[in-house]
Amino acid sequence: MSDRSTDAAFEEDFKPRGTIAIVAMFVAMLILLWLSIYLILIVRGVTV
Amino acid sequence: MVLRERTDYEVTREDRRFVGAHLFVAIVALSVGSLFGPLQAFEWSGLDLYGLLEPIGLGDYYKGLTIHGVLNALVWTTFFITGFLTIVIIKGLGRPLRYPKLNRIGFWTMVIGLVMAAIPILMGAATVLYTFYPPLEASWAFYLGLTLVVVGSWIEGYGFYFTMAEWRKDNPGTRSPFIVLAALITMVMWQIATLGVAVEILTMLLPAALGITAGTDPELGRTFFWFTGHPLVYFWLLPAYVSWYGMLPAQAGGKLFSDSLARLAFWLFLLLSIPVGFHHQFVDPGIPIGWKYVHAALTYGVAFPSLLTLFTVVASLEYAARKRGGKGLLGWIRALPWGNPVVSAQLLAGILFMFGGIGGITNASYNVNLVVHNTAWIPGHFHLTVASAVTLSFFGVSYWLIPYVTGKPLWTTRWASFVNWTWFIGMLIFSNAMHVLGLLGAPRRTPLGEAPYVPEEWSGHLFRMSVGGAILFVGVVAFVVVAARTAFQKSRFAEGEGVEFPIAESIHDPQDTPEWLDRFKPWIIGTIVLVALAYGPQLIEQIGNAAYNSPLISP
Amino acid sequence: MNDSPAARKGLGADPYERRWMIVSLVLLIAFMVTVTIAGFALGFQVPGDESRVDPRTVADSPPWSEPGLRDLGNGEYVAYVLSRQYLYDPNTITVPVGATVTFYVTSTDVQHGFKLQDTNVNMQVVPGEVSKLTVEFDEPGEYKYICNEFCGIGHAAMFGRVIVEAEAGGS
Ligand code: HEM
Ligand SMILES: [Cu+2]
Ligand SMILES: [Cu+2]
Repeated sequence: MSDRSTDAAFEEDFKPRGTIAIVAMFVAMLILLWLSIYLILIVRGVTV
Repeated sequence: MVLRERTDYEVTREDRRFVGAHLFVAIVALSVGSLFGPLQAFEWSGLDLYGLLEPIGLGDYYKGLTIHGVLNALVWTTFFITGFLTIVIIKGLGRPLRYPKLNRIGFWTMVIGLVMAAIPILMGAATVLYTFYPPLEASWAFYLGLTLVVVGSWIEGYGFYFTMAEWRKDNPGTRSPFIVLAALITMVMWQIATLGVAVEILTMLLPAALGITAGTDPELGRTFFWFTGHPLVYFWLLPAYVSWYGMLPAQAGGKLFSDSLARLAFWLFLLLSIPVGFHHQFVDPGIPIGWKYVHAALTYGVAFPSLLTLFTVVASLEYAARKRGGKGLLGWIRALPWGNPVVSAQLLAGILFMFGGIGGITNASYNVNLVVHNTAWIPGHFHLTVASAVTLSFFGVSYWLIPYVTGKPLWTTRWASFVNWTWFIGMLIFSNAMHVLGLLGAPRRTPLGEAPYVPEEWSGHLFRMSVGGAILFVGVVAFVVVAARTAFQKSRFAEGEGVEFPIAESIHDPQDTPEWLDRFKPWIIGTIVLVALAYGPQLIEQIGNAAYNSPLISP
Repeated sequence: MNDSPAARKGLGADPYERRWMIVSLVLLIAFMVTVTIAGFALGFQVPGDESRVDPRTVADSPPWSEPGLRDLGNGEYVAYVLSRQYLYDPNTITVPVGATVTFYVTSTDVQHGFKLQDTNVNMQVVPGEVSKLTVEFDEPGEYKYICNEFCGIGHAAMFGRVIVEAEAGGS
């Protein structure tokens, strides 16, 4: 177990840049894949 | 300092054995249930091996599928989860169970229920798949057995609550440890959620199976079932999240990025897991569009805490990796301890779950469900969730938990890593093929090898699916071997060796977490109110108009 | 006590997390709006609460006693389809291209599915309830409807077909 005070400086500087990149990629993928299925719905025609 | 004392608590031999018994039943269930997975995949691609199983009475595709669904989705999960949560409570609170006998009673109730349900399944008297939709007929013993499994899990849950209550008394003003809070929220959610299926069985299925009533109301049955059915998937998932939030950061060499957000996510799961069941009934008759729409909106709501989880867990991992010297925008990923199978299992599970989550949001998207409902897409989806995010994470937990409860070292790191990667690669191939097949219109729950309407266009994907299934099979066999050789080997940890129980510290002192994130009452009341609002009117409507005129019919 | 990197009030979320929460919410709301428009304005709707029947007698009472197609004129049709272990009645439906067909489907025994390939008609078929959806056939050809809910030992063989005929010189 690491000591809180020695970690403090590291924590101060820590910016989750990689995490932001990963969630951005995830969002792009989510929108793309979701839209492609949504498009299939639209192409297959109305139901009322 | 309180934290240190807690983690130093030495779990008794009896309690280790008790947890080990859960894992044993779980892994036996998985090993039997998974045998049918590849058989199903092969059948779809035209290689029918069921003839070989005919002599031992397992030649029926649907009997096999019932076993696959019940043992994997219900038994492997429930036993693993109750065992895992038990050790989380004991170790997290640093004290033995308040009423150990009560928890033993719960466990044995589950075992008796399991045996009771297994007998009719094996006899072919409960070939109703793991959803047992009325009016398909199963033996009364099947329904009663499942009820006992659920009741047993409730009893184990009561044991957790008593233990927690005593800890609270002894530690006034102290924030409860995150993993304990999360474990208890999971149990509370489960106990509210399972009321649906309990009512379905006790008021509709069991009386009909015993000949007391003449029939069932199938749509009402579906509404009761999915009241439990959706939260069921969170009952599977939340224990994996307990590990991802509360243990993985420590295993990766870092800390939990945000204690309060982790707690908030769990409270939101309690609040929103249950009032969303109509998203499994989007294309059902007998449910007004308006209620389907309300549940669609709430389902988007329950996606929110999972999106939070994505950020918090990845950030915790990044913190760990950078601390270990990882550099670059994404280069730090390589600095994670991939060589540790406990970690790699969870990382790979998380990657598969990203795809599972995308598919889940698609399924939940109201009319988009018309594209995927009951197609091969759906099993494609949940093999990424329950059979990967959950199952692969549980593999990772097993790699330290089996050594922890048996006092024997993992056999071996290399084989465990092999399991993880095999599962990951097999699942990528298998689930991708199934998603595509679903979009092309292939139905689920259907031995396509004997279906007369399969177009040529599907065959390449069917083949890919069976390749993925074969790889998965290698993975699951390897896992069972790893688990068994670990547990039943002769050699033990030497004096002073052993595995540590992983509890992730949070970057910020949990004591700073606001008090409203550590109180059960308001959240439980909120949950009950929300469930009553989202389900009450339609449930009253369906119960009021119930017509029990659909007699049970054998499949 | 260390509460430095971000001023932690209320939730105590860090600023990056707070931004991510907003992005998540915006994303989910955008999806919701998109499906709402398709569903309630453009006609891509799910089945609703249609009507109830008695599964024991439904096959003997109109309109289900004579399942099949009804021509309402103007290219509009209604099709009553009975599902039973392990067939659909009728199992073949023929309409001209351009037809709009509303399917009413119910079951005389256990639950079934009704998925009309290459269209958005995909319904759970439940004894005691009537499932209803509409489709416009703009392309000639054969559209199979298949059972996609387990209904018993013969389930895999359960299907029917809609034959959409190209107009051959004014039918
Ligand atoms: C050895 C690897 C596995 C393979 C190859 C496999 C394969 C399959 C296939 C092909 C189906 C679809 C059958 C059909 O719809 O007709 C299926 C269904 C299913 N699988 Fe798996 N599976 C595996 C492991 C698992 C695991 C580990 C779980 C859960 C923890 C699981 C849970 C399920 C469930 C719940 C169903 C649905 C059953 C139903 O529709 O009633 N599977 N599996
Ligand atoms: Cu669900
Ligand atoms: Cu069927």
